[in-house]
Amino acid sequence: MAYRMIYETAQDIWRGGWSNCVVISILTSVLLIFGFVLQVSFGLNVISQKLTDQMEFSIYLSGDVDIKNFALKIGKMPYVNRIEVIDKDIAWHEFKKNFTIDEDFQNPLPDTIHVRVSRSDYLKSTITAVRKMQGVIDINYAPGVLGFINKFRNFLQLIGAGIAILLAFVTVVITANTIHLVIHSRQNEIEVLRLMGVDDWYIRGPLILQGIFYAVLASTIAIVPLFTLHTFFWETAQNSIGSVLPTGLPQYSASNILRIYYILLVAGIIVSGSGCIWSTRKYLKI
Amino acid sequence: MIQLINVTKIYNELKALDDVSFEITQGEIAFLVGPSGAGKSTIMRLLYREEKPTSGQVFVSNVDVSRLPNSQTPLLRRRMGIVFQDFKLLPNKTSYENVAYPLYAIGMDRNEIKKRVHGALKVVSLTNKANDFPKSLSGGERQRVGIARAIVQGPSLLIADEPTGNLDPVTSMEIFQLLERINQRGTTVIVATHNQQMVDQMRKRVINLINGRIISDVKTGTYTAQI
Repeated sequence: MAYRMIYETAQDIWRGGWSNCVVISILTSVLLIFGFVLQVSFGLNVISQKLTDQMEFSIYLSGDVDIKNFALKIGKMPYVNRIEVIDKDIAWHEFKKNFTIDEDFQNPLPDTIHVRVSRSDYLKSTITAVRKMQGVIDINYAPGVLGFINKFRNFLQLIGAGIAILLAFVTVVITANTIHLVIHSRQNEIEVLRLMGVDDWYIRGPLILQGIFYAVLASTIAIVPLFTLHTFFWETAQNSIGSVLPTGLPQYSASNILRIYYILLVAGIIVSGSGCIWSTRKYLKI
Repeated sequence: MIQLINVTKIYNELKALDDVSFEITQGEIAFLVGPSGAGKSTIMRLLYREEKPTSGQVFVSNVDVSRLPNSQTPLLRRRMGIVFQDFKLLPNKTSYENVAYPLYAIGMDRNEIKKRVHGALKVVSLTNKANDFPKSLSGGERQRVGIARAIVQGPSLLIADEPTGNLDPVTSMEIFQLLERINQRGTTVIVATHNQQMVDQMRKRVINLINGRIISDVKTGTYTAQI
């Protein structure tokens, strides 16, 4: 039975002729755009995560605070992984070694504590808690780069989603028309089958399988340039700016391409399957 | 076997059938006759559940097909064979494949299909044309392939809607005799036709319809006598 269904599907695809190429080309374009947006988003997510993971924040204290006691309090806070205490006198001494400064010049540097939290999720809550403590002049961390990456990622996702939705709609329409052509060419055959008591699913099945075939082929074609681009990007990045990139990124890149392929496959099946279902519901009378 | 009780069918305010009632028993052969638009084909379509009556009841093998859910329609149709005026053969399939096609689609075993198809082609005397495509067959042979396809599932009811509409008188006679032979094997046969000459020669039950109403129902009647 399964063999018959596959045989019927193959015949339907053969009957579709060049319209198959049109559907597959457009579906591939949709999946390519969708996959590119996904890939870049995943990459930016990882970079953003790695930056956050590696980031410390610095606390600047007023002169009337005992830095050692303050450091002990910080050290006891949950999620604080590591602290580094920099006494203002020692820092001023080091500073004066590198620059010629008048002896009468008062030390302007505050006592400083560099803090590192165990997980990035706790960074903001720890900073908020520290900010409320007495004697804190300022806290410094680097949200700028992260903010830019996140904003860029959101923008890219928005534009990518817009284009992908538009193309997905076009694909649904074209798939539906291709299936309509197949139904029209099989009209006599379908009528014979249904009047001979053949089950509904046997008649609809090959048309739905045809949609799945489009999705499998389109997602497989789409993953090839995505994988090439992906490899090229990471190799170039490692060779040129590898020293400033967070560690652990190459491992991410190899594992995620397969995940992107699965997502594209499911997206393709949803898009072309919708076209098939729409067409069979509209044009196939059983 | 078949029972219509006060059946009325209206298409867009046009009454195709008007309070029609009749019964055909198991093993009987009956001819539905009448001019075009009399309602013959509408009755056929009601029997194989292509249409539902506007009012009344249609029973086939004690099942009220007018209330049959869509999911059960294929099962009903597997218990009956349908013969069409235009044969409805698939041009890219041989006689054997045309007859076997619905059996493959219901998942029947390949050996069983082979046995059944050869049996059906034997009944219609076309075993020597099993590998021929429809285009190389005459009109009568095409209709015989259509009949073989209709009986291949061993139905208890055979419905033939104008089976000789596209055939010459000699070939039409062959088809009518073939339908009679199938009836003699125990299958109930109902034929919608306006072929007066054939119906007169058969001397079987004739139900005469005009303007959607039964005007006569005679056990061994003739078409001519009804008009």
